[in-house]
Amino acid sequence: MAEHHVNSPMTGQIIEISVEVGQSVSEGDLLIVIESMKMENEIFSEVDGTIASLNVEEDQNVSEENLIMTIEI
Amino acid sequence: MPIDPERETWKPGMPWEKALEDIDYITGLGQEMGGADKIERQHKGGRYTVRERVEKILDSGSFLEYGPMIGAAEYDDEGNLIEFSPGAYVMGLGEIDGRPVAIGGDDFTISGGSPHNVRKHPTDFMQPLASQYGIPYIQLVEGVGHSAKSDEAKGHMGLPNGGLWWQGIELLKKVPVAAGIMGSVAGAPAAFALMSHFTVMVKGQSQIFPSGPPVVKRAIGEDLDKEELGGYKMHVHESGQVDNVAESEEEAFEQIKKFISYLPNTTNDVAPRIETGDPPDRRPEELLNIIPPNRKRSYDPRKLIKLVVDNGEFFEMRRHWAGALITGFARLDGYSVGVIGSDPMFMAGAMDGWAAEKYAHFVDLCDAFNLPVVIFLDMPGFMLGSHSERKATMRRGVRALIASAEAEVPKIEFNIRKAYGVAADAAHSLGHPNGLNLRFGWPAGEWGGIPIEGGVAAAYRREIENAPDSEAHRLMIEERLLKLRSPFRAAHKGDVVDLIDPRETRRLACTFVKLAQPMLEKLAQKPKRIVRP
Repeated sequence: MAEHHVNSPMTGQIIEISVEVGQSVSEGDLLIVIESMKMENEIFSEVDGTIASLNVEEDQNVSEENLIMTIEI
Repeated sequence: MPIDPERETWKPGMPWEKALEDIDYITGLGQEMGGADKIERQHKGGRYTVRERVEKILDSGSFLEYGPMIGAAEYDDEGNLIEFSPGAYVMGLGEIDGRPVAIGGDDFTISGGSPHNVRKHPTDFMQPLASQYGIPYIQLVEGVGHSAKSDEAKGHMGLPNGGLWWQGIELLKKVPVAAGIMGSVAGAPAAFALMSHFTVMVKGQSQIFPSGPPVVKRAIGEDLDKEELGGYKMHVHESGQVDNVAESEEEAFEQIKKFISYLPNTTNDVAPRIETGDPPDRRPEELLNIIPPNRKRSYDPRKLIKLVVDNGEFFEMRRHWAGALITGFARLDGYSVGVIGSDPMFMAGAMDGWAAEKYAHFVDLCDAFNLPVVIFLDMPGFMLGSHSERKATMRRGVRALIASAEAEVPKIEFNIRKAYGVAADAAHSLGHPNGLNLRFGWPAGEWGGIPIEGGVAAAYRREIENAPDSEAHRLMIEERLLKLRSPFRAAHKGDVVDLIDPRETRRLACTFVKLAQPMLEKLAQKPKRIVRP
C-alpha cells in the first residue's frame, strides 16, 4: 500500500471538508474546499484510494504545500 | 548483417555498378546502428531507435538522410573496408503534413549517444539547413553528453568555450525549434534539448538533468534515482523546465507535430490558414451561463476556451506548471492564434511568480512568430502571501508586463470576470501609447485597481476601527462601493470596446483575428528578438 499525500496547492482557509477518515474516494471526487483570494477553491482527488488521515480542520488556515490529508492507494 | 572483412571494396577504376553496390552495402552497415544486441536492448526498454523515431514522426518515405556513410571506417593495405562504425547521430530533411522540416536525433545504441571517435553533429548539417532554408527544426534527444573516457583518449581536458551553441541560438531567432526528450538526457544534449521553443518528455521514460544520479551522489551525497531527480514529475509538474509530458513516444511525436502546425516556417512568415469548417459566426449557447452567479465559485476555463476556438481544438503548452494561467494554441476561422486564459480553479487564477513567467514567455513566443494573442481574463490580482513572495512574484509580474507591452502582435481580450491591479495590467497592457483597446467585457466582468474587500480594509482602516460597530461599518462601506463594480459604469467610460453577450465571443475574436492578417504580414518583416526558453 502506498500513501498519496494531498498538499495544499495554495495558502488560504479550509472552509469545507467533504471526506472522513476511512472513506474510499475515486479520482475526481471532491476532498476539500479552500477559500483563497476570495474564491472557493475545490480540491479534487487525483487518485483512487481510502482516506488514511485528515491533517486539517475546518476554519484552519493552511499554507501552500501544507499536508492536508493522506490517501492510501 | 555484420561487416564482411573478406569483401572486396570498390576502388578507383572499378565499374560504377560495383560502386553502387558498395554504397548500398556501407549504407546498410550504417543502418545497423550499434548492432542487433544494442537495438534489442533499446526495444526491451520500451524505446524506439532513432531511425524508427524519424520514420514515425515524418510523412512516410519523406526522409532524405545526411551522411548515412559517416562513420569510423578502417581499410586494410589493399584498400578493402574491414571495420565500420556509424556516427551516433541520424539527421536530414523530411516532411510533416507536406511541410519540410529538418530533423535529427541521437543514436543511443552507439556509445549511449555520446560523441565518440566520429564527428557527426547536428551543427554540421541540420542546424545550418534549418537556418538557411527557413524550416522548422526537430531534435529527438537521447544522449548523456561528455564522457570522461573521451578526455582520456584525447589526453587533455578542453576548456569549455561556448562555441557549440551559437547556431542553436540563431535558430531560436529564426525557426520553430521543437525537442523530444526521449530517454535519460544529461550535459550538452540536455542543453540542446532545452534550447527549444517546445519540449516534451515521455512519462517514466525520459529524464533530464545537468548530471545523472552517480554524479549527483558523488558531488553532494544526494541519493535519488533518475526519475526522482529529473523525471516528468520534477520537470513538467514542479520545475517547469520541460513544457509537456506524453504517455508514449507516439504521443510525444503527435505533440511535436501539433506544435509545429500552429507556427509559420520562420519568424518572418505568418502561419498558414487552414480551412477548419467551423463557421466564424457560430454562437456557443453554453457560454451564456458558464460563469456561475456566485462569484466565489469556479468554472472550467478549458471548456470555455474550447467552446470559442475552431472545432474545440486547443493545444495546451505547460499544462501542468504555473496552473493559474493557461497557455496554448488554437485556430479561429482557420487562423492560428496564441491563447492565454486564467484558471480560476487554481489559486483563484491569481498571478504568482511562475504564472508571470509563463505569461511573459508565451507572449514573447507569439510575438516572435506573428501570432495574435486571444486572452480570456479572470485574474483577481497577484497571488498574495509569503509563498508567493518567495517566487519574486512582483518582479516577475513586471517582466510579464514588459513582455506584454513590447509585444507588437494584436491582443484581443475578453474580460470574463475579474481583472485587478498590476497583475491585470500585465495581461491588459496596451504597450504602445497608441495601442488599440481591443478589450471586451462579459456581464460578469468586474475590475479595478484593488478588489473592494481588500481596498476597503486598507483605505478605510482608521474609520472602521473608530466606528462603534466596526464590522457593521465595514460592511456599510463595502456595500456603498459595490455599486461601483458594475461593468456598465466602466463601459460608459470606454474602458471596453463593448459589453457583450458571451455568445458573441467567437464571432468577435474571429473578426479581429482576420482583420489582423495584413498587419501580421508587416510585423513579420521586422527583426525579432530571441525567445529565451
